[in-house]
Amino acid sequence: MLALLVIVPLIIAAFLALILRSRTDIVKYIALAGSLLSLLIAALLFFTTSNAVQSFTWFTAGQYALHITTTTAPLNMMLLLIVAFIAPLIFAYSFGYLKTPSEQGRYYFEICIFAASMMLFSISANFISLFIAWEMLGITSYLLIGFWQHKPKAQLAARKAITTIIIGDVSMLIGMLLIWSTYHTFEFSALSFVAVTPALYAAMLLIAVAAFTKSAQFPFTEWLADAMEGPTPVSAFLHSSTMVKAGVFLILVLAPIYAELHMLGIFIIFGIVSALVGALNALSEHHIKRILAYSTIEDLALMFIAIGFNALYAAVLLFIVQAFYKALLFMSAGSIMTAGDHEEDLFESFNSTKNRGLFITTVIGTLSLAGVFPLSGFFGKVAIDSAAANFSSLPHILLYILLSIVDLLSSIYIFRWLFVPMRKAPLEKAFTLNINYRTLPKSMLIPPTILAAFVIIGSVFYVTLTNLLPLPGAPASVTLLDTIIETILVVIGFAIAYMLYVKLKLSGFTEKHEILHGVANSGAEINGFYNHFTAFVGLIANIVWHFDHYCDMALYYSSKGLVKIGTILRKLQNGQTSLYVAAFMMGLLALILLFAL
Amino acid sequence: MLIGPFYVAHAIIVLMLALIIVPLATIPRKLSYAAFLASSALLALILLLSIYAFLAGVDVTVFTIFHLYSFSEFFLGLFAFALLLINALSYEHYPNFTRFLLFFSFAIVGMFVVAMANSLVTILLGLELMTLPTAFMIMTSGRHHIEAAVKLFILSAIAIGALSFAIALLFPYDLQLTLSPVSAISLFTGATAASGNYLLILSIILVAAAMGFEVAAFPFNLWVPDVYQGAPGNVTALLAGINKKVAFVALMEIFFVVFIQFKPIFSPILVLLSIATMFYGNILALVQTNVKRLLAYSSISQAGYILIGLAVATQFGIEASILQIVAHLFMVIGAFAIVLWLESNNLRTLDDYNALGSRNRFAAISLAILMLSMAGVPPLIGFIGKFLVFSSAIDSQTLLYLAVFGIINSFISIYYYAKVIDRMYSGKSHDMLAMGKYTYAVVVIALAATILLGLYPGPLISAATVASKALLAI
Repeated sequence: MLALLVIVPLIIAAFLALILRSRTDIVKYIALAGSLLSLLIAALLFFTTSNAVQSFTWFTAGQYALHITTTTAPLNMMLLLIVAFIAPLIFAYSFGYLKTPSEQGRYYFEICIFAASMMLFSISANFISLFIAWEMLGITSYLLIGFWQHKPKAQLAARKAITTIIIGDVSMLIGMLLIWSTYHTFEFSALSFVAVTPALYAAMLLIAVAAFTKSAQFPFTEWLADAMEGPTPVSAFLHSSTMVKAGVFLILVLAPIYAELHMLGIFIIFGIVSALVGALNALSEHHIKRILAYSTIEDLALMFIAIGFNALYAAVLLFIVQAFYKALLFMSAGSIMTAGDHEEDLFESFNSTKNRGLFITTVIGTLSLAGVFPLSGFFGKVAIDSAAANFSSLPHILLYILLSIVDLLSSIYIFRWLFVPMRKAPLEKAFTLNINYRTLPKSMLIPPTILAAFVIIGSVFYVTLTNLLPLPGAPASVTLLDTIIETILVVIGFAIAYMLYVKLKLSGFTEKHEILHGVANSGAEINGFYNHFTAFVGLIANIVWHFDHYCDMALYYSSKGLVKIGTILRKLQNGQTSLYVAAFMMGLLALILLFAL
Repeated sequence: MLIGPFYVAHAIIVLMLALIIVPLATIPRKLSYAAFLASSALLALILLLSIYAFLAGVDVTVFTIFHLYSFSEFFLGLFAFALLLINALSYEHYPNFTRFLLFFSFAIVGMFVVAMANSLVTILLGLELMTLPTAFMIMTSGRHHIEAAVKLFILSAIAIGALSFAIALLFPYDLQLTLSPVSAISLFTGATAASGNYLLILSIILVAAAMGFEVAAFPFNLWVPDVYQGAPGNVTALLAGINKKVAFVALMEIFFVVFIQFKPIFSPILVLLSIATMFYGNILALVQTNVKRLLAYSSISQAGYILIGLAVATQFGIEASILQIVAHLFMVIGAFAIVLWLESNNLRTLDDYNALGSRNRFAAISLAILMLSMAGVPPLIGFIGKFLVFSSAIDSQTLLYLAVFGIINSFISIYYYAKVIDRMYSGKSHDMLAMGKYTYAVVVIALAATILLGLYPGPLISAATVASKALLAI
């Protein structure tokens, strides 16, 4: 089990962190060393072993044997390398971000297990090992999101996350057991050769639902934004390479089967809805990290759309480059928050230009997300646009228009995200703020710099991906038309954001639920155009948000309902022995009646 | 063979009787430690003998009332091992251990009698011998435990009544009342068709109700939370960890040997009981604030999972249920050991569990792992048990929905298990708690079983296969 070696250092580091948690000075170095060792092993695996599927029997029961299967297929190695590469950067960033000594042991334990689960996920080649990793990811993310237990909001967010994740787990488990009951196999590779039955459709649909919950796609979007209550390095990790990527990756691996079943269309439909939900929410959000969270939903949705068009290379390309720029942007957000004394409101953050290193890396990340040539984000996004560019029928044209709108919106919100904290701070704040910016620890500045370098050179994947990964389908291509359209959209977005937030110093679109009220009171200084524009965007965001909110409420109330039933049932247990005897007799009677009738 | 099969069986019976003599000999002199050592040694000897008998494939009938074969040997060994744990827990918990042992040893003999039974009357007596002393164990533990003891006593009396009636109804069909397949031909009236044999069906129903009481299946289980909460922790561990499993053994012996030809009749009953029990246990556990009561409901829901495999009623289903029985036995004994210890430190409710993580790290992490295992998180033993149980339901094709209900339930359960784990790790306290060494040992063993059998369940599964095949071969 060569591939499993990769998680060993992290597991050891995790338990060392737990044992040595009173020695807070060395715990973090242990975690970092563990992650670097894992990176080394991952790199060795990548360069030395060829595509090898290995499996060992976990246990046999009846006539069936359960195997843990791992693979070193190029696609799996790609994810493994991304995770292994991002992990040490995240750990290093945590050095500066997380300073409370009493939290260190717990934090590094949880995040090491989290990273290890994602690595296990990335090398698993059957449902058994996948499910173990899937479950571990769910539990550790729950712990990490609710890491600050003293914050009630964090507790709520963690609970919301676990609720959504459990829905995914249920459908995952039912899906894989359906497959097993029909075909008696858990191997992904065997699925390509099986006869198509209704059970397979149902199972693949359930697995798609599971992937949607993990990747926070519509209608399961809300938990990801709330998950911002966790520590920022966790967000950076969760959004770039772990957890949310698990859903997309699962669909990526299973894409040939979905294609065979002609089920790819669902990814396009849910993808475009999620992309709009993400982009619109990002535009109307004030929380500095939640904007990025919604933008992640949009990125993931774009990957799903690419899979929906069976443009796997385009999906993988965005998959890779998104990991770099999203981790980078979250680190920037964390640094801005740290300098502003944990201020989370975008409009209360100022002077982000004061630390030059931070500012430059932030700009690189922003430009990459917006899709500016020749940064890697550009290739990722435009490759997907090109894959979707098909003007043969009305739905396709509509889809392309919607995609362009999403591109425009993402350009607006990300430049808004960049411009607003650049403003000059009020005098009373400026002094401490500037000092804070200048004294940001090195550990919080070096990882983003490395990531920024990768954001720039990540563009080479556009050329080399076809050599690195053998995938079905055409290689990712960027057409001139899409390049021009994208560039125009980015420029328009830049211009709008510049006008609104730099020239007019607008205080932003108001919070979602107060949007109409806010627009009505926004005063005379905003001229008609912007006024209408704000109202329009706000309205759509509001509608989408409401729908999303109802889905969320449905989740909430179904869990609440269970508790309610429990409270009612509890009245049965009043401690009266006679009642218990009566229940016994009633049960007996019911069974007799069952057969008498 | 080193020892003749007949001698093995006799040796086990003699050791059982010796167990009863231990407290009788030690009470007058208040030799608690000697009583503990002697009883542990006897249990360990029974454990070794049953392992030996299992490996050697001993199959022998003694006095026509006992039958020693792979199935009974498997459970003899399992119970002996689990009883060793309970014995250690109780020794630490009771200042006057010998008085406790007086009742405990009778209960132990009852359990072994059920496991080795070769006739319906033996099963009845064994169950009685197990339940009554348990009520006395609760009663003698202190005045405030009397209510729980009386409840257990009254309801078990009714259940035993139902079982006796069921056996009496069976008499026309099998004059011997031995554990052998009963045919549908009444020796008195000559009625043949199973559907027309109301006496037989009534007998099956009465057995189901009586066993429903013993295994805590809804609606025969309303007494469970009160008794589990009211009883001292070691007895609760005994009730949930072993007594219930003994009842499952009796249920398997009656349904899969005596009534094996009436599978279409008893299988739907078990399906109903299973679904009701799972939902009842899990939903009520959601609203509990007392941890012991929460665990009581959780163990009810676990009984529901065990019933799934029995409802499927195939060899694979029985094997899966045996696995789940073993899994739950270790998890619940470990969990109640911790709860008992915390209770003796006056920590009872969820609020009391706040910051346990910083007060005793080992206890918190062990309880967390045990609960994750109960929730069915891989790769712990709880996952293996549940996985096999659900697979058996899927395998039967007709009972696929049972697996779906089971899966939904096991995810509902994550809520309340996570709630406990959540509490243990929220807040901080420097008020350290020390764990007694016997409790510590018990928790370590239960934890090791939970983790190791989860990682490497191969031998356990093959043993369960042998046991279930032996049961069906009678």
